[in-house]
Amino acid sequence: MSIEFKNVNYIYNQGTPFEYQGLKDISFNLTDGNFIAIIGHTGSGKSTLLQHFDALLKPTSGEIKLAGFDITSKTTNKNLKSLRKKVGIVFQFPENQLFAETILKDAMFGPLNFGMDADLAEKNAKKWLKRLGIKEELYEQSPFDLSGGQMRRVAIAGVLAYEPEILCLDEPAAGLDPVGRKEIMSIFKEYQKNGHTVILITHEMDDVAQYADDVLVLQQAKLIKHTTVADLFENPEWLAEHYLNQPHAARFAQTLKQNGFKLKQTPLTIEQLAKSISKKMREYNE
Amino acid sequence: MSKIIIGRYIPGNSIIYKMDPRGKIIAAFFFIALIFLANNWITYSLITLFTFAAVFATKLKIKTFWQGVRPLIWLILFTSVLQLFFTTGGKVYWHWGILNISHYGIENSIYIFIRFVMIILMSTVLTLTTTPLEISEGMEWILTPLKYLKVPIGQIALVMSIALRFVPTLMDETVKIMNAQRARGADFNDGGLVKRAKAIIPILVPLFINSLTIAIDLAVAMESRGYREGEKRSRYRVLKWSQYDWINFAFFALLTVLLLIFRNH
Ligand SMILES: Nc1ncnc2c1ncn2[C@@H]1O[C@H](COP(=O)(O)OP(=O)(O)OP(=O)(O)O)[C@@H](O)[C@H]1O
Ligand SMILES: [Mg+2]
Repeated sequence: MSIEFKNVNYIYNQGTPFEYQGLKDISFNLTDGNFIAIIGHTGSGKSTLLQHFDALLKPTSGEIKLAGFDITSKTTNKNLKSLRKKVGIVFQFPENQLFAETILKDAMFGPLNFGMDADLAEKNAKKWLKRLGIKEELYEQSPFDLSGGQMRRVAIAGVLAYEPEILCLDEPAAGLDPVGRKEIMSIFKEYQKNGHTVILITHEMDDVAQYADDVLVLQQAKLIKHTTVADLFENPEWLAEHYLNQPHAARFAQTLKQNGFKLKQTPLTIEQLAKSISKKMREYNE
Repeated sequence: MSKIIIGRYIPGNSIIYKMDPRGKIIAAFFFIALIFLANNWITYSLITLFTFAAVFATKLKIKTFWQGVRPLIWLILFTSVLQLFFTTGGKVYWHWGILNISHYGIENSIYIFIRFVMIILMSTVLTLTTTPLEISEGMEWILTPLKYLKVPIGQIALVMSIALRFVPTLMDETVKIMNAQRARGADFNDGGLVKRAKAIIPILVPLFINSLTIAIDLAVAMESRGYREGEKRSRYRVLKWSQYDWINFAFFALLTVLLLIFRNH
């Protein structure tokens, strides 16, 4: 199975003077079980695209196939629950969606809605709260007494608690401290490795390089590239033209090259960079 | 939700946009009074012509105005139909129990219909071409005399502009929160009354908390930029009368004179 978008258009406020085309003729095929990054300039339509995975927005025209569902403009709101059970979305600033009296109850909201029995819901909620680093003594406290970063983690645990097949993330790490960012990104990577699809919107090219397999690049509501991570970062001129960057490691290698020290392959992560430099140094010494 | 046109501003640059909000508000209220001068076919036609002239002068799509009238059309038709069946007088064309269709009934129901539609169209002309902020500034000026009765007009106007400014923000916020809870399996259209009422809690709590956060942030930002309660404030945009407002008033004067002449025919 795979995730398939066929000529998907989406128009905001259709038929009013505020009409705006949010997606233009988007087509792609994603392999299940991959880690996919969606990147693009601000306002390019990334969040609009993401809401289609859950039928929160339905295409004005075109067709979407995923998790055994068919979504078109005619899809009714009935039966969407079983789709939403399989596709989880963590929105931009998910801490703004917390509402329950206690942290644990908030994390159990999703599982209970999707028909898990109370014991299992509690077990799952606890498991993911713990995985996201929320201490057990906090479970019975109000989520509104937490720090912003902790609230974010509770909100993410609330989505992971029903273990969706496809996990969609809209800039989940924006505004977190560097250690926290790394922590939650590796949780998502692990989640993907355990047999789920992860779709990540991000502005951090380092995260794209480190975690993603494939990349979708959006610009002004259009899909302008769908390729592998290695291929995307091969061409710094193309990236610059589209307001994008290489990851730090690749930029470092680029600067080395300009100074006459050329590496064989563009390194994408710090580890790759370190490896290729030490390899080259060893070659020099021999 | 976003399809509601009443009370929405659409950017444009026709002559009506250049008029002063104070003049437009006064004219809009005056228009409602003027409508009651109309009492026969000629005067109602004049009012209709005048309104359509104003609608065309905005240079906005006619469809937009139709969207403004549409949500109310059933209410208007209902009122007209009541008039039609219950007004007596003149020649009777049809009769059944207390219901009857009479000459006056037909006339009255058409007049009522015109009155409603023209008032809606004219207020739509005002709100489509004037930003909520301008309207609140205009209202502040118009209500200035109340200051002498110790009514804090300045503060009321500020509260009004802030409220108007944040209506779209809170609407966006509501949609976002609803989507986030929908994604977590919340269902707002399912089940009985109690279940539905319960389903609102996951929307209301975050919405309430987010609005408080916005309000506190705004208050801090305002105070740190020097806002003090009760102090005299200068204005960034100063309202100024221009030739367009005289054109506006001249047209209304003309309409008034014409109505006064033809209402006795
Ligand atoms: N509810 C809405 N009504 C009308 N237009 C909208 C709405 N939501 C988004 N848009 C418009 O659609 C375009 C794409 O928005 P979107 O939120 O998908 O961008 P994005 O790529 O996620 O940007 P960012 O990186 O800033 O989050 C924007 O120009 C925005 O103004
Ligand atoms: Mg976005």
